Amino acid sequence: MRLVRCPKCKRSFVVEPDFMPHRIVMQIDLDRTHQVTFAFHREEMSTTLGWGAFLYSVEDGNPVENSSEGVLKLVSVAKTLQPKLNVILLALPDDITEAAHIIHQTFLQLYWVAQPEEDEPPPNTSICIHHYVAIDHEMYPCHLELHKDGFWIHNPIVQNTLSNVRLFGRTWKVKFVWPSLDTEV
Amino acid sequence: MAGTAIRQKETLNVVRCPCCGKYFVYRAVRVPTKVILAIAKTSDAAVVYEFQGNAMFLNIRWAKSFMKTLHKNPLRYDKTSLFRLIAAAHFVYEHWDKLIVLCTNIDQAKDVLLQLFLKGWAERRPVRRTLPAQSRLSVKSRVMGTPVLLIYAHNAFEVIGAEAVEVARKLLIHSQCRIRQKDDVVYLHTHAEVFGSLWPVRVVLAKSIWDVMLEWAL
Repeated sequence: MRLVRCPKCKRSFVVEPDFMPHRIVMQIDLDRTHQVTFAFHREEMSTTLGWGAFLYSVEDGNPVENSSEGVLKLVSVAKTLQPKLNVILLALPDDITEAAHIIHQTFLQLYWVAQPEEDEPPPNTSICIHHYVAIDHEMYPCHLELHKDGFWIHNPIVQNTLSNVRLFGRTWKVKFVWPSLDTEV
Repeated sequence: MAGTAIRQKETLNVVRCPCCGKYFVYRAVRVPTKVILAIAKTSDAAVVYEFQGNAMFLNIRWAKSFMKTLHKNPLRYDKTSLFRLIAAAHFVYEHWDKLIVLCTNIDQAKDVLLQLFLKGWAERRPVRRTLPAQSRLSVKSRVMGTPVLLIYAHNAFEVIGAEAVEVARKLLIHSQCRIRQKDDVVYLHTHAEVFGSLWPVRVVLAKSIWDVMLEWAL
């Protein structure tokens, strides 16, 4: 991945993007109506700002390396970015387009200097890998949610079929999570 | 809005900004010698793209103003880059008339000339063809150990002027060339390594000079 800055408009963007075979989604919820979603798949990246009923997306090349370091860098980015987001949104309440661009630019700058961190993502933040698991020759989709102790899986179909999972060149622990009874529907 | 790096087998090092649409070189390449591309379709305007080391210089003459600007060099010293350079020259040449109408001053012209060259460089297919009229591509190189300016002409390079006399003298001593005569011009055919491969080189001499040289040699 190479991050370049346009000499004319000073915006940063990704050239020579990395190929990401699994879809990774990092979502930061600011409140019930505002959230930011960063999605990485193949050679593409999108930053989507949810603003009440409105959505605005910025498309770019994928900066995340297809390795465990790449995924763990996202934890570091989320920890730095999450406190900044409220400030960005407060400063630009009327211009969703510009807000999405600023958030995207901030993400790129943070990712460029990030170091991998084996830590818990910050509050109200989820980092999920969309992955398919083969059981009896059937492929089942499951969302692997990144935590400090490995991945949490919510899909009850694949329960007890995996003890660990090999992704991004290393083996990760897997923990199955039952839906809590007080979950709002 | 995706970062539109021009993806081909070779890495071009030229990218188009997805926000403002401008082309720029994001990683300079080093050329081991000096390469000069000059275009002057009309008498009141001319541009010289000069590539040396990591730098690309734009020398512009616009009406009575002159300007020299420095940029990152996109040129690799290989055969494809040579053909890409010729394709870019054609692209600039084709847009020259529009350029004259649109750009009222040299500041505007310098931006447009850079953008036109980079767009042509990145988007035009590199093709083996002749250069457009009123344009010249030359490369600093060595023939028989003599530093010369090789001028691209019809899938070959030429040496002319005082340098041609010096090279011809050495070729004559070492008898390492074929000689052809056409009207009042004598061509000495040899080879030189340019843009990473061996190219035919014609040393061009006036017949009168050649006759004097032969007399001296005999």
